[in-house]
Amino acid sequence: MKSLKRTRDITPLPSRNFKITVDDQPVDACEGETVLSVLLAANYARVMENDRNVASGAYCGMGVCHCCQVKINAKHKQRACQTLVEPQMSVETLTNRFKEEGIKHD
Amino acid sequence: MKKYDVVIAGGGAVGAACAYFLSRDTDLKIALIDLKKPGNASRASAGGLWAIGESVGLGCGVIFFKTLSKLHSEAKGEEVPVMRPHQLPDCFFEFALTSNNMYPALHQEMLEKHGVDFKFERTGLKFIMYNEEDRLYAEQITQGIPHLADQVRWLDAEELKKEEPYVTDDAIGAIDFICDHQVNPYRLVDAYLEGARQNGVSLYLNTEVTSVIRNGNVVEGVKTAEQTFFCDTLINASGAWANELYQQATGRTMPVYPVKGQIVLSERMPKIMNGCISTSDCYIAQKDNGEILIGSSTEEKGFDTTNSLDKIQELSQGAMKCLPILKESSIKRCWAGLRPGTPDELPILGPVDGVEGYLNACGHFRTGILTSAITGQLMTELVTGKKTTLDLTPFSVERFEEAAQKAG
Repeated sequence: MKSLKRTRDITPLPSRNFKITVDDQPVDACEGETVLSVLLAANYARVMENDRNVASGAYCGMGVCHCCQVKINAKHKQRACQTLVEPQMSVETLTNRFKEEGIKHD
Repeated sequence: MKKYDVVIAGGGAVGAACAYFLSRDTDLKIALIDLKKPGNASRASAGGLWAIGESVGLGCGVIFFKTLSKLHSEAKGEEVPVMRPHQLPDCFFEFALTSNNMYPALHQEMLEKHGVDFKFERTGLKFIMYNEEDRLYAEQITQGIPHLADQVRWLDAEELKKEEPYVTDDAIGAIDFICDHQVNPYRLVDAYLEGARQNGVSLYLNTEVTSVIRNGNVVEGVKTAEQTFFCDTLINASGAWANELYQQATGRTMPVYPVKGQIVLSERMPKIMNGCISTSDCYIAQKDNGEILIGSSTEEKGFDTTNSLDKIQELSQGAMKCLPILKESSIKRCWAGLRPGTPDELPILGPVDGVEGYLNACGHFRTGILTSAITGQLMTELVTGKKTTLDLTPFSVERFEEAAQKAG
């Protein structure tokens, strides 16, 4: 399986102690970083699909704007910037709960 | 120095309604003075027009009653008694229902004359039953209101599922009060204020009334930090803070005190509710923008407006039990408001014996949004010396003095 490359890290990772899965592809991660930092390093700009089915990217990066919600370990609407990575974590971007459940906004 | 015919102290739903109705129906010169303090009840309201629901103790009434009976049993160390509906007296039903009936026309009027929409929605209020105890409770409620039988609908599990597909399969049915509706409470206050402003009321917002000017037994006006307002009539619509103003105006005290309610608000959701819901744990209302509002605790903690984890958890769990789809949704905001409570849960309206130039419009407890319209109308009738639509004797402040004398 093709691995995601972390090409956008600003400084090299201090260690690569485990992998997480982003959209079914493994990617290196290190303890203490957030899901958002992994996504950004792996060149993910569009991370979330909102309830109106519009894509959005992380904006504030500090838990306020709710623009980086992704599906983490099968749970929807988790803020990537407020979630620390853990081994075997599975992240899905551009998913939307209501779309999957077939519930429409008016 | 300014001179007005009427000064209204307080610009929540009640004060704003007084300003609107007075300015609509009279040519008087009116000022409304308001400072939003933390805990302002109109901003912590669900916006339910639950005329029957609240009168029979549903909505936050059922939570209020649960809290009471819990306190009661803890104090005596007995078992929790079977919950009985907590029905308010007939005068309150009349007061609440008269007000409720005003909203459809008021909504049209606000839209057409003032271009403001307070989002009146015909929703009904369903009390969801999970078990036989709940059914017993519901039966007691309906037995208590035989004259309103045509406003109550019984739904079995299947009918409920059809109307509210997202309600849990554990529900065995519901009673629906078909005349109970909802508005957007923020927009309602804004609509009253905007209507009043267009009708020529002077609005002094972000301005605190610091003292009352009294000459003997005549109230002559109020002072703010910067100005003095003289007036013929002062209307006290200052919510949970009403007793302070009353003391300054009359030299006496009245039992209006803050009763805290915590609220949980979800993220915007697709429309998953067709009506408002009350259970024995909480009430739930989906607002026009998709947010789901879950309320509300009942706590007497003075002017404290902090949130506590236990209450937020209780409310969230109550809502998730009723609507399992909420388990996967996020909370957007939690906050708390201070209801202006009174010992008998009835508002305090009208003049005070031996005091001139002063009217009470306070103590609306958990129904200020619902009863703001009739309060505005009654205050207009009092100011203009007309016969009031409803008898105000049960709502006079003197009822507490009489009660105290009897007790003493």
